[in-house]
Amino acid sequence: MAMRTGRKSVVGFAAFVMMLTVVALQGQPAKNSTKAWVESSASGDALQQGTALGQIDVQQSELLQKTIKNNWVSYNGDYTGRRYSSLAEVTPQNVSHLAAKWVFHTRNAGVLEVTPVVVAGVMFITGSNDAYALDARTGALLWHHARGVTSGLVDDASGHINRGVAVLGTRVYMETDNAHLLCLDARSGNLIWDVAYADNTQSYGATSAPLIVKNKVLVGTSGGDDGVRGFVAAYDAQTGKEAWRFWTIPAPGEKGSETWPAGNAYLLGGGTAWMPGTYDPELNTIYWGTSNPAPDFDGSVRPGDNLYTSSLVALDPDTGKLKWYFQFNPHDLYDYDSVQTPVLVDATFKGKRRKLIVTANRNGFLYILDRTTGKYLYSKQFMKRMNWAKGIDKNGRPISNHLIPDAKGVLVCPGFAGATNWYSPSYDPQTNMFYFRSFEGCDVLMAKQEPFKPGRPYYSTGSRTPPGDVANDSYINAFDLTNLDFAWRDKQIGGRQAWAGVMTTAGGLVAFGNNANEFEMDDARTGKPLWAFKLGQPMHASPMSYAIAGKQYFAVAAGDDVFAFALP
Amino acid sequence: MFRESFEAMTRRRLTVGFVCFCLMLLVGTAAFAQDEPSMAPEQNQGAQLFSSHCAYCHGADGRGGRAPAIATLPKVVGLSNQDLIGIVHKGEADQGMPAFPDLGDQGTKAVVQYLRTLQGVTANGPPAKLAGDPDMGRKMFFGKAQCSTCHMILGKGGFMAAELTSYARNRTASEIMQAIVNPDAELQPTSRVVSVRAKDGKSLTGVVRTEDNLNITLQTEDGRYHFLSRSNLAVVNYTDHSLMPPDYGTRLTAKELDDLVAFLIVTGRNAPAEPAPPKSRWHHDD
Repeated sequence: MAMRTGRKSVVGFAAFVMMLTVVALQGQPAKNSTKAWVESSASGDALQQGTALGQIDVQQSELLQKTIKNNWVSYNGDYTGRRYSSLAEVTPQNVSHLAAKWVFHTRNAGVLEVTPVVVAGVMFITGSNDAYALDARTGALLWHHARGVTSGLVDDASGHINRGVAVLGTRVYMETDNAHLLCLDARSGNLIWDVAYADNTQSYGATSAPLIVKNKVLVGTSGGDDGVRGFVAAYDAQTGKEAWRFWTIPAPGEKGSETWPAGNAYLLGGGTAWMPGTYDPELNTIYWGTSNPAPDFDGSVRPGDNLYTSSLVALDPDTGKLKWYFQFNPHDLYDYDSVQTPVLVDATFKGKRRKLIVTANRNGFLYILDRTTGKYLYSKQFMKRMNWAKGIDKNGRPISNHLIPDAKGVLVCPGFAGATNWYSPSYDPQTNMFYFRSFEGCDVLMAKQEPFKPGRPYYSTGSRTPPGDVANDSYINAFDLTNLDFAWRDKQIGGRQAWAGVMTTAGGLVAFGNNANEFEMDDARTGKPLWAFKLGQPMHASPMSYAIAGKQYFAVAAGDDVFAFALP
Repeated sequence: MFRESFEAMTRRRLTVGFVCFCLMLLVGTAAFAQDEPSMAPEQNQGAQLFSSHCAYCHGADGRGGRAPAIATLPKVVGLSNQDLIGIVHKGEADQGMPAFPDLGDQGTKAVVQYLRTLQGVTANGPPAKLAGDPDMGRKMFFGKAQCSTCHMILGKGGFMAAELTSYARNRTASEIMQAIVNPDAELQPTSRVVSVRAKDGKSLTGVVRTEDNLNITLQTEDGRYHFLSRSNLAVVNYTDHSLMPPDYGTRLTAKELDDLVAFLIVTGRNAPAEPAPPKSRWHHDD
C-alpha cells in the first residue's frame, strides 16, 4: 500500500507539472472538457468491423454479419446458431501455448450458464439478475447492474439461471428470473426500462438470453414443467412495447387445438421457449424450439399430440405468425424438451444445395430439415442405448416403443437429462461437420395422476437412477454432412457428465468443456485432443471467441467465474 | 426443463448461504454504523428492538427477506406513524404479520421511529415537509440545470454519472443539497476526471472507470471506453473533481436548488421497490 501511494504521489506531481501543458494544448480547463481529447495511439485503438474499440453502438449490419470475427454479438454469436468463429490465430499447431488471461468472479451466481457477448472490446455477462460490463482484454469491471433475485419462484427459475444479454445500438437487454425484460444503457448499466412479460406468481420465470431481430427483442420463459402455457414474445427495442406474442399451445378452436383435450389442459401444457432461437433474414423466418408438455410423465390428462410442445416452430419475426412447425416428440412422456439450438446450415444435401436446419434432439436422434418448408429430410440415431423408439418414419415421426411411465416405473433411454441438451452444438463450414455433446444416461420414469397446484412443479411424479446402472458415457460427436455419418465420436474420460457446449473456429479447432471440468480444444477434423485447462469447477455453459487488436481470445463460464484465454 | 444435479444444487446452497450470511453481517453493520452517531436513546432502543423482533423476517435493513421490504415499499413508507404503531401492536394476521403487544407503547413507538430512519423519513415522520416544489425541480433536472445530461432517473437521462432514481431514499435534504452544491466533497473513485498524455504527445481526458498498476480505463463523454496501458503514458493527472459542475450553488437560486432537492426526494420515495438482495436461495422442494 505504501509503495502504491508513493508511486501515485510521484505521478501526481509529474501530472501537476504537465497539467499546464495539457490545458495549454486543449486551450481550455481540463474540467468538463472530455470532448476535447485527441485520439490516443496509446490505447492501441483499431477500427474493428466499423466499431471503434470501447465504443458500443451495435448496428443491424453487425447483427447480420455472415461471419463471426472480432465481436460476438449475441448468445450464439450470429443468427445461424452455428457457433463458428472465423478467427484463425489459434490453430492445432500453436494451441499448446494457449494460456489463461484473466478470471472474473461474479460472487452472486450459483453456476453461470452465460455465454459472454463481446462488442468493441467490452464483454457483457450476466449472473442471476446481475449484468456486468468488463474490459474483455483484462477482465476489469466497467459497470455492474445489481438487481436482487426473486423469492418464491418455482423450479428452474428459482435457480436464478441466466444465459446472457442481447445488444442493439447503445443498449443491452436481459431477462430476469421473474420474467422481466430489462433494457440497460450499455455505457453505464443504467436501467432504461423494465417490462414484466409474464406473471411469476403463475409459475413463469426466465433463464434465456433475448434475441434481437430487426427492431424487436424476442424473449421466452421457463416454467414448462410447472403448469404454464409457453410463448415467444417480441418487444419494441426502443420503447419496450409488446409487438406480438406467439402462444406455443393453440387456444381452443385454433388450428392445432385438436391435439389437446377439452378443458384447461392447454393452459398448463408447457411448451416454453427457454432458449434463444435462430433467424434467417433471407427467408424472414425465426426458428424456435419448445419444451416438453406438462405434466411431464403423466400423459393421461393430455391425450393427443400436444402441439406445439417438443417442437420447432418457424415464425414470421414481424408478426409472430406461424409459418410451419415440426414436432420431434408428439405426446412426449419423457421430458424431451426440444430447445436445442436449431442450427441454420447452407450445405449440399444428397447432391443438392439446400437451406437446412441441423439439430440434435434430446430424444437421441439428429435431424435435418428443410428450413424453407419445414420438410423432414433425414435423421440419425446417435444414442446407442436408446429404447424409447425403434426409429423415425418417412415423415419424421418417431416409431415409439410405447413405454408408459407408471407408479412402478419404467426404464427409458435417454433419461430425462436427454441424449443431449441445451448446451451448444456447432457447425463448421470448413469441415462440413456438425459437432455436439451427447450423453448415454437412462432413467426409471414414474408417473401418477396428480392435480395441478398453482406455484408447484407439475411433473406428476419423477425419476430414479436405474438400479446397478454403470457410469454413463458422454461423447463429443462430429457428424459429417458430406457422407451423413460420424467422422468421429470421442468418449469423454474423467467425470460423469458435463453441461458444457461446443464451438468451432476457422483455425481448425473444436472447443468445449470436457467431463473433467476442463476447457478443451481438439483438432476439428480428427477429434484429437490437443490442449486442456483445468477450471476446477463444473461448466454449465457454452464457449465463445472474440478478438481485440488482432489477438484472438476464448471465453467460457465455469462455476460462478468467467475465464478468458489467448496465446501469449 | 431439466433440473440441475443435486450436487450442483447443494454446492450452490452452501456457497450462497455463506455469502448471504456475510452480506447480512455487512448490511447490518452498515445500517447501524450509519445511524449510530446521531441516534437518540429511544432510537437506540428502536434499533435493538428492530433487530430482535423485525429483522428476522424484514431484513436487518428493512429491505425484505421472508417478509416485505418495509423500508422501501411506497405503501408502507406512506403509512402514518399511528398506522404503523397499530400494525406492530396488533399484527396483520391475514398478511402473516404477528402481533407484538409485549413491546409496550414505548417500545412500539421506538421501533416505528427506527423504521422511519431506515425509510429515510424524518424521525418524527410522516414524510418531511419539502422546502421546494418537486414539479419545478423536475423541470430543472431535465431542463435548465442540465442534470439529465449525465444523470438518469427512471430511464431518462445520460450515462456518465450516477443513476439517481432511488438516490434520495436514505439521504436527508441537507445531504442532497450538499452533494449538489459541493459535488467533489465525497468524490467517488470511479467518478474522478483524469487527464492522460501519451508518450507520443497525444492527450485524453475522461472519467476513470477502472484501473490497476498496469492499466487505466477512461470513459469519454461520447460513452466510449479507452483502454490504456500505463506503459504508454507519460502523464496521468488525477484531478480532484468529477464531471459535475462545481458552481450550482451560484448558478441556481436557493429556490431552484430546493426544487431540485424536492424532486429527488419525491422521486426516491416513489421509486419502485427493489427486489430483495440475494439472501436465501433455498429452492427445489419438489
